[in-house]
Amino acid sequence: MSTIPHDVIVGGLPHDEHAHHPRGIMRWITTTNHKDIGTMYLWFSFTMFLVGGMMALTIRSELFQPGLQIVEPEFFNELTTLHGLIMIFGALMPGAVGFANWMIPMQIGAPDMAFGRLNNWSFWLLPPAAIMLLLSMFVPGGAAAGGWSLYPPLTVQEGMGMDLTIFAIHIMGASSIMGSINIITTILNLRAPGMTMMKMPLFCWSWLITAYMLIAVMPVLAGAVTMLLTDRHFGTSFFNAAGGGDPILFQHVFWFFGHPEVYIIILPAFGIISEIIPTFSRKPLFGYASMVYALAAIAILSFLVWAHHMFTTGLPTAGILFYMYATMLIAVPTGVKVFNWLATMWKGSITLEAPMLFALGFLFLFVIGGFTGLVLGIVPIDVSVHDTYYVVAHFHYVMVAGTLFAFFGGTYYWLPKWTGHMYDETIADWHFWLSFIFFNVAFFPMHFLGLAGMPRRVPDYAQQFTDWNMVSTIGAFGFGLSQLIFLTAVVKCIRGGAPAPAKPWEGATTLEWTLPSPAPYHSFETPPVVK
Amino acid sequence: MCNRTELARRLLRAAIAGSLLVPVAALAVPDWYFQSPATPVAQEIITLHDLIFWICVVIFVGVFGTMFYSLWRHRKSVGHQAVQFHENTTVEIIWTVIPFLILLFMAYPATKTILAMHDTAVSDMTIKVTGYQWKWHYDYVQAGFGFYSNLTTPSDQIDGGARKDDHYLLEVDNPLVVPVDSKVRVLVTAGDVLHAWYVPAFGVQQEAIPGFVRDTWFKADKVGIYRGQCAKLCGKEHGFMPIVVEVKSKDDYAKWLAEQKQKLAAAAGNPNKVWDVKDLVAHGEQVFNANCAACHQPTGTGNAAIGAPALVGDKVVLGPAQHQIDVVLNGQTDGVVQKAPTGGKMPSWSQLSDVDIAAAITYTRNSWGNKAGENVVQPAGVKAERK
Amino acid sequence: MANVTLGEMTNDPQRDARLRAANRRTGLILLAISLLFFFGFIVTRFITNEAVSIAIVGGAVLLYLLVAIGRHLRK
Repeated sequence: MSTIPHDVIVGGLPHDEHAHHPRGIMRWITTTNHKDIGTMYLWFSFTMFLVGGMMALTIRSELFQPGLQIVEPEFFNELTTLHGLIMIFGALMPGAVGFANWMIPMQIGAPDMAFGRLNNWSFWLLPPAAIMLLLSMFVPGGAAAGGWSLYPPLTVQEGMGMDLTIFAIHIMGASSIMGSINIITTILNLRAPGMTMMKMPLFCWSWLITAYMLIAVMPVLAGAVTMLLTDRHFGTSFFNAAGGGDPILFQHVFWFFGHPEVYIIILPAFGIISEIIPTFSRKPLFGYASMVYALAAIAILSFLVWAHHMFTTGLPTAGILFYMYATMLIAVPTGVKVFNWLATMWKGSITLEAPMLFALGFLFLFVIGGFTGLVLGIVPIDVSVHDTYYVVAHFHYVMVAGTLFAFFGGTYYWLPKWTGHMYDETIADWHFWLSFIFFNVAFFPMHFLGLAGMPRRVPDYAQQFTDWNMVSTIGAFGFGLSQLIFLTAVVKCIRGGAPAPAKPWEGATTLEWTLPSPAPYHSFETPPVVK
Repeated sequence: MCNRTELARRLLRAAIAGSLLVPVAALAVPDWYFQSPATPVAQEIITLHDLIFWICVVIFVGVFGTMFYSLWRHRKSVGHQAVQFHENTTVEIIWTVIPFLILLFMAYPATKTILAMHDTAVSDMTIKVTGYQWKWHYDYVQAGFGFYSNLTTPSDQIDGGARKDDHYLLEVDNPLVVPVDSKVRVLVTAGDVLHAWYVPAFGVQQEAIPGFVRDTWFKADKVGIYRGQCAKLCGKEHGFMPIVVEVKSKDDYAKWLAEQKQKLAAAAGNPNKVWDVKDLVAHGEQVFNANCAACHQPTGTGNAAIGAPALVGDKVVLGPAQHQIDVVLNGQTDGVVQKAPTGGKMPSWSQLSDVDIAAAITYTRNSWGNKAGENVVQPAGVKAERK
Repeated sequence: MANVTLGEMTNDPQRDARLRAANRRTGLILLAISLLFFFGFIVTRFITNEAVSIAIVGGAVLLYLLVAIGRHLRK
């Protein structure tokens, strides 16, 4: 990534380190260091984010006006499918693992992750999988085009691109499982003396629970896509009624993975927010134990609600009622978390640096997304807006204004620790405000489109949907361009900036802030004692 | 950091960014809410939504009002010192129990509506809806007839930039026709992949699952025309298979039904009727554009990307008629590389009538410069090939 | 599993070895669970009544989750 002068910059080797550390490209390929691997995950995530973003902008360009102007309908479906897969499996999940790698060992006072080489493999599985996914666009028949949820029978019909997607999912799933095993083992076994489970930073708790969830669901996803593969090529009929199977079985299996998956995506973000808000309120997190219980409750409940993605498939009445009630119930622990964050701020001593801005933006917008989730959970309403843009609005609020904003906040928060420099607060400010405004311009109108009846995954639409689609496209472009500001802020910070002290944030209390900035290549080789 | 000038600077930054919203606000407000309800269920859905919505708004204003207040009063730049409390079991219990009670309050009306929506018993008539790639088929089960319903928006409006008419993408050749104030039970299934029958104004959406039949119902209480779309991704023309339901007064419906039954009798009449080539070609053009053009193009030039050969100068079209009939009736896979969207397979079209198939084949043999030796195929010829 | 353990990789070879063993054990248990879910899932499609088999796997997943997370919630 960079040849190292004698300055210690992000990922830099201290020049008095053992001479047998490889340099240049081999360093990055063979590294077992959690900081290096965290860095690679984060850059990979951001790259995938930009790739997925360009797909989104192509989609929004086509949807700027009614009519087909830019892409063919089949390619449009490929774009929507890949956009979803890339953002979820290429951007959000690896991003979360990047934060886990960088921060968990430092927060628990461990020298590194439990399994260094496994860590390396977990990362290096991802670029080939991503390349496979992207190359699938160029094989005969094009990429998978059945939506990221891959429902058969449509996906059984599709060409080679679908097989490549299945393989890519297997590989990324293996990476996630290995990463989770690593994270759980690290957290359980490598905490410094005195750091009991209930003294761990909440970010570590959020990742511990997330990792357990990943181990539960990634094998299920692998099973589901494997059954799809055998239906496609090996004569099975899992999802084919003519052969005695049922397309809806796939939906059950997929969403048994898929619903916990979306909580897997948000939980680490919750963890980051729980680090930022106390720091910038100069107060401890309110209700630590409740926050842990809330995470656990959300995780466990998330396994019981998957059929709320299937309310229009014709489930029996009793089933529908159960899933509706269980879905509504998740609002309770989520609400507990929101209230605890507010109580953390209450009567604190609040400052509004960039991490806090993103945390507050998260709070404001994630709650909107949560409310639309509740609305969607009410079955009669869902019947009217299922598979419309209302759903698209909902999940972008929780995943973009939720997880992505938390990642931005976490990046600004920890950049001083990673690089040794303070980021430019002015640039970060602009990044926040433009992202916040343009995000809402892009996605808020989608609520209207959905209520008015515009279906999703369509490349063209009836005329009454024109105006909001135009607004949304403008917002999308604004939001996309604003992310270049983020890139500027990060690169500028890596290259230089005001030197960061060990603890640039007055209210920070966790272990990573006891280390110098930038954190040494090997930290906590002697474990700290935690009181 | 965070003194008054700094604060002012940051507020200015935020305001500049926020001013980007002004052009948005200047638009006249377009469609932003549920369509006008045409059934009692749709009305219940709107009422339920409004209840949930306003409860959420109240909670939202309360929560974020508190947050903004706290941001204002408890900020460091006015010198506020942090008070170091960090837990309170009572408060935790309160903000667990109260949301739970609010949810109960929401669940009750929702449950009632669900029970009403699932009650498909005692209906006045039954219609079977089948979703295909990419059209709907409606069967009037009691009356014994059915028809396909295809999008009629011309492609020059979609691709060609021609001026779009009022019901762009929401118009069909044969709408579903039902009487007002009658409980219509709808059996929904599919012929190939998942589709979904969705009419927002009725508050109805039912996934169409191949190999399974699901049911739903509606009772339109207003005469009129209501439009919906397929709501489950089903391939490349997913956005181009709309649903149009014409709700007629009971008298008008009775008249329409009588007409349909007459037409049915006439068409079934003579399977051995010998058609004039001109009539076959004319009818065939319609059938071709509604069914075959999606892959083979209205110009017969095919679509290499999905494995649909050009029909202009095609061996099968110009060769023996029996072979082409066989291909259309049974589909064909040999020699074709697997491609999307139908796996490179020419699907079987046996669900079309003998007349329709004969007409479409005749059309291909007499169009775009094709002059086949056997240039006429009669419905009887198609019937003979069916196994 | 003790709730306080030492993470230390370079200074004390004895603790090092103990720690490596503990890590290996934890890792293998978790790997076994994930493999069990993957294969168990597909195998259940071939044996017994559909609904029963999928209920067993779903129940196993849920039980695992309750135990895995619940273990840590005792204060």
